[in-house]
Amino acid sequence: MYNLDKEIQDTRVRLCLDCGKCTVVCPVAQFDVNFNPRLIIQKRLNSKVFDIKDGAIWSCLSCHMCFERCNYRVKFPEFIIALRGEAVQEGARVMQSHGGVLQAAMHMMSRQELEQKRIDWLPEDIVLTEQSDTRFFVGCAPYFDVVFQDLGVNTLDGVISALRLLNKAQIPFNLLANERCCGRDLLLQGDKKGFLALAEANLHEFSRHGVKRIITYCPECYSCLKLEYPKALGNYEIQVVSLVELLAPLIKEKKIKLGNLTCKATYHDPCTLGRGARLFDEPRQILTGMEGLKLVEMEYNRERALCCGASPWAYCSAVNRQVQGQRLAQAKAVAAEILVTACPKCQIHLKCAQKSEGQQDGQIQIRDLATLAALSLKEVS
Amino acid sequence: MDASVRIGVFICDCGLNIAGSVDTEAVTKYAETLPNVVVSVRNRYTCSDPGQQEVKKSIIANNVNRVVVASCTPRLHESTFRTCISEAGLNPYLLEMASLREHCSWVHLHDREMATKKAKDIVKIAVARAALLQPQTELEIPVTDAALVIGGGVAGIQAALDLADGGHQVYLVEEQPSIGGVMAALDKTFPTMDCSICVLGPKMMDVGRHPRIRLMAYSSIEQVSGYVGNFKVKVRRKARYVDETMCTACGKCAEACPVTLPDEFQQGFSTRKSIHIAFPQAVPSAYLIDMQHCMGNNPVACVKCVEACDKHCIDLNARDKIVELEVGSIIVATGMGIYDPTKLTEYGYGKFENVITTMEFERLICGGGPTEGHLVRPSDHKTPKRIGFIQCVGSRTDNRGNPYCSNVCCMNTVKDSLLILEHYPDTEIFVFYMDMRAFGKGFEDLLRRSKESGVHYVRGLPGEITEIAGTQNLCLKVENTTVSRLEEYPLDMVVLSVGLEPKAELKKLANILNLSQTSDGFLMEAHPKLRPVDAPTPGIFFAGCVEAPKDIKDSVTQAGAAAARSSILLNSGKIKNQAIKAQVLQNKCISCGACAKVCPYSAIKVDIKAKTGAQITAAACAGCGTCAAECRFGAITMQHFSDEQIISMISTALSEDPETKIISFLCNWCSYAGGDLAGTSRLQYPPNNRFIRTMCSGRVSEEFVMYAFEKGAPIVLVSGCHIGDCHYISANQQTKKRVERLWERMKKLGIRPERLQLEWISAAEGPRFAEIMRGLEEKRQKVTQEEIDYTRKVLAEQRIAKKASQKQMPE
Amino acid sequence: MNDSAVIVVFVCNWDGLSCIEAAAQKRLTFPSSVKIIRVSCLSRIHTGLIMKAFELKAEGVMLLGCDTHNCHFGIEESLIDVNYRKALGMMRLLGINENRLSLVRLSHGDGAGFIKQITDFADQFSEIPT
Repeated sequence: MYNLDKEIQDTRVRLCLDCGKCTVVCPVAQFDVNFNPRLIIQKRLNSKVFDIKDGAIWSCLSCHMCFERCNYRVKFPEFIIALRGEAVQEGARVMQSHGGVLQAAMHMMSRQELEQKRIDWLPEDIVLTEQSDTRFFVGCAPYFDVVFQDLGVNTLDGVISALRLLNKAQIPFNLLANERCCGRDLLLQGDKKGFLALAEANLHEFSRHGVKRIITYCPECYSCLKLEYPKALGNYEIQVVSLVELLAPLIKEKKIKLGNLTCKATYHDPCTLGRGARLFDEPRQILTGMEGLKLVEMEYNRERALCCGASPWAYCSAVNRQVQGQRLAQAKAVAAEILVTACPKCQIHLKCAQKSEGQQDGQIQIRDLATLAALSLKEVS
Repeated sequence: MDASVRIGVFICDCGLNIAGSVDTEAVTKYAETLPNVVVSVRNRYTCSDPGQQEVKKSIIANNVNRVVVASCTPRLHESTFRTCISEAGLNPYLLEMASLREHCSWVHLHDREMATKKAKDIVKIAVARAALLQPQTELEIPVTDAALVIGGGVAGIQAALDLADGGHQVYLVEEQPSIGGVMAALDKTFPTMDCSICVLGPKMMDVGRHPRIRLMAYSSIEQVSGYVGNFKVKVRRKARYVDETMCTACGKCAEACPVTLPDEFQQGFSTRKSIHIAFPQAVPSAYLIDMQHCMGNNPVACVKCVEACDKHCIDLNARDKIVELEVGSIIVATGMGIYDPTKLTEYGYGKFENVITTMEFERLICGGGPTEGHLVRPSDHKTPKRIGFIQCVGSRTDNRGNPYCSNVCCMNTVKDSLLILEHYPDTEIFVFYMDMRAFGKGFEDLLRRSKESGVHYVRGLPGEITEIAGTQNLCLKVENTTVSRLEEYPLDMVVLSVGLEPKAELKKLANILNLSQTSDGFLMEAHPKLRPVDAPTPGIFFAGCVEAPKDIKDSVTQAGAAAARSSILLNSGKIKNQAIKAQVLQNKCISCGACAKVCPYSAIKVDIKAKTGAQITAAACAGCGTCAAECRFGAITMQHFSDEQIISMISTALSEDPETKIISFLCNWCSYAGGDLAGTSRLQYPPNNRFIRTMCSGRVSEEFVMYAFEKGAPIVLVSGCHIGDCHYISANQQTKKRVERLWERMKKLGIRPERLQLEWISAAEGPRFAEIMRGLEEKRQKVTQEEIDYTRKVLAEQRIAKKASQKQMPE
Repeated sequence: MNDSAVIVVFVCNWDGLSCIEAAAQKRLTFPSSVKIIRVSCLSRIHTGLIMKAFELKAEGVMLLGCDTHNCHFGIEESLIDVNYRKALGMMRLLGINENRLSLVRLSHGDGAGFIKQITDFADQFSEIPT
């Protein structure tokens, strides 16, 4: 499954200058003395002390901050994934969080014969265009909301809001009744087999419904469908766009008018949407399209944004909690009332961190971007 | 058969080198039977003294007027035999050499029969060309005994002085108001810790005083035309508004001037006036007005300086002047640009006052600087007690910066660390590095001194600098990779050791001089090892950082080299240009301009509107032949390597059993040399190949290739230098385009395009050459007789159709 | 009695197990395709374990534990109720028939009760669509 020699070639790890800039900006290395990106590369390539069962390789958040700063753009997160795959092949057992419930669901979702009932939540006022070859890819929001109901997480709200916004923008689309998990989390934890099974199942769905274009709101699905699927599957001609890149120009050119939302808000760039897809301006344009919204920037923003500490539902530990704590502290430091996220996983992880901090006065509200935009629309119409 | 042509063929045994695998006796006898051959002689060592004597005797005795020497590669002995036959009274260009050694005997060691057969063929082809050779005269062009040096930094200064001391007239053009360049702005130099301006100053004075150096400061190059030995240069002398010859640099004007501006020489740390002198030791020692910020002109609003000047040498109505020069050689020494680290937001340059660059540091510690050498930090002017240096800023990176190493930054920081300790022995200094490069003479010693003095060398590049509000101190975060630990360093000041890069304006100058830049943006030298200071264009040389980042010693060394090489040119008074030149047949030229477009040397001028015909400047022509191959009207030929000669070689090669022969066009400098190397290395390959040497692969026209196919060649190879390495700068780009066009044509005609192969082979690639030859034979074996017959038919039909349509074209 | 459907029964060590043991003592049988997995308390069973059983192709999962207020460990609000609801939510989305999961609370030693529950549970599998 994993050809480590090819991965070493593709990720350019041999070019590592051993300078250590990655370690300085790595959010995990701040808190975990055992995690050192540069050292992991050096150990694996150049010394005999590397043990494939070394726990350190599981702590990486794939936030790509190292890649952002590296002189030679060494693709360290991809290298870590290859190491994880190698470990799994050698029999390492991944420590799955939340009892492995999401992985179990993902594995089941890759079964061709499965017929899910996953769009019962769809409100009646959402308009679907049956003949459209564009599908909105929902992602695992319905499943998240079941698992994380005690966190008060409502990622489906973000999805529904996204659909309302698309309707308002008069962009036609349909939904996929038997959409499968995109599989990015399985890929990230070294389960390439599981990922490929999901990818093939999804491709089967796409082909059989003549899907030509996919719109998605979840940045992880966006990255996975746009970048990983073509690599893994041959013959993949589907155009993938993010909701924010569709809406932002319309809002900027005043083709859609959002409503009022008087508040002081700060925007948390999701790693995959920001550093990954370079979509920094678009979410901000959507936010400032709401009158009364004052946008302030946290100390680490845009290319330097701090990860929400999300893991692919595996090896979630105290370090993740510390990273989340740092992010929440940054939001607090700019005295924002609302911390806006544009990713279901960011939402879940930051809310989880907030919950563990306990009830506090003046705790910042964590809200979803699309939800806020759609809410403001209600006031207009 | 032209009765006036009398060819003498000289077959060489070369001891056993040729005779060991080729039956040279048989070849000699065979040569006698070839058309126009009047004598055929076999020699043991033709290049030896007795061998050459024999050749000369034979020429005279038999009234020979064309010579074929079938021995080793022409790249070895062509000049030897040219001299030899000229001693026998023949024009040296009436010689054709056939390589029986590198391309036959050495590569077919085990098949005497085939090797001998091929040797005969090679001689036959050489004889066919020899019959068409014409005497040529080498052009002698006079050389103007004067040199232009562009750039007055230490390299330009040194080059100018060397040339002027050597007796030549030098024009030194510098765009800043004073010469001195970056070196004038440094405090001390490594490894000697000499005061920079102290050692440079006297040299600057020498330049200013030298009777043979005409210094034109505050001037730029507008236009350059001409060619080696005869350049015409237009220089724009920018208006100083102060008469250089009269100004005594008393400074009264500046005292009176009301306009205050940041002083660029002091990196903006202190101020100057609108009327100013670049720095106290400036040469020429004269003031100038920064007219953009002067209030004195248009309408006359302020004349304080004019009033203050005792010598009345300020003229607010001065204008730029254009000066025209004639020079024989040009040395480009325009120096370096410096990387601007503002983009590296993680270091806070431009945001945090106490993060500065190398040049800013130099001015702060320099006695002639804004603080008279008291090292203070920008925010509060206090002496910093803890200073950090970050290396490789903007160098060795694909990510905001340049990929190369800037050569000088490591040693510069080492020097800076010692400078600081000299003045402030209690300072804590930290150098953050990836590698400390101390490669030169005295460098490692200096690094040792620095370490022994207590400077901390931390291996790791900082990832982030933050500023502490209030104190404006800095906190630097780095991974100390030696111990794999994240560390934080509180510092008072941080110096970014920024890299060198080409000046942004270099592109403009490169265009004016028709010079190529490498991928890094620096100027490209003719050969990185053997001709490091020569530009590919003859007559132009480089010195200093314009060619690549380097320190003062290397710049001075290069300047001396450039001056010496320039001297060779200027001393000779005249230069001989080799006779391989393009020639326009004016009666066929329709002034379409295609030739001018492809000439790498811009040696062809075509007035498309006036239709006066293409004009080739023979002295500038390097003889690549690309224009001849490009011309669709047969209006350009090469004086040596004419179309007729090449066509004759092709048809001779394919006259017998064409289906067994592969025709390979090899360029003289790379591919043919690669073949020579394969021969010298005794690498074996099948004997089916027949080589046709041209000076450049750009010479190979579409007509040649199609002709070879028409004559029955199963496979044709076109081979030249690697793209970017062409001996004639960029002519092989045309080769590539032509072959691509040929592939399209072949596809349309139903001929398999794989039968035309394109390879880039360098002179170093002997084994690859042999491998390609083997590959070609494999491909040849897959070509069927039907294909060859079909190809010959189709191309013959085309030729007839084309001739018919041409007959209808108006003259 | 359907004796081929693979059913996983998570049973708590105390009241739950006592029912199974009581049934065994009375020689009451249940299908051999029923696999018993004993845990200290049903609170141990999180949603992930339930879904894993389905992933590994169990046809049905039964959660057998004590009557409310009878927990050996004195746990009043067992996590199993929350996890059971979450598992049902997951199954609903995945299109797995919710009848395949059953939460059974019996009093100590109720052997007959257990047999009835397991038999009825198993019997549905010949009829349940997916």
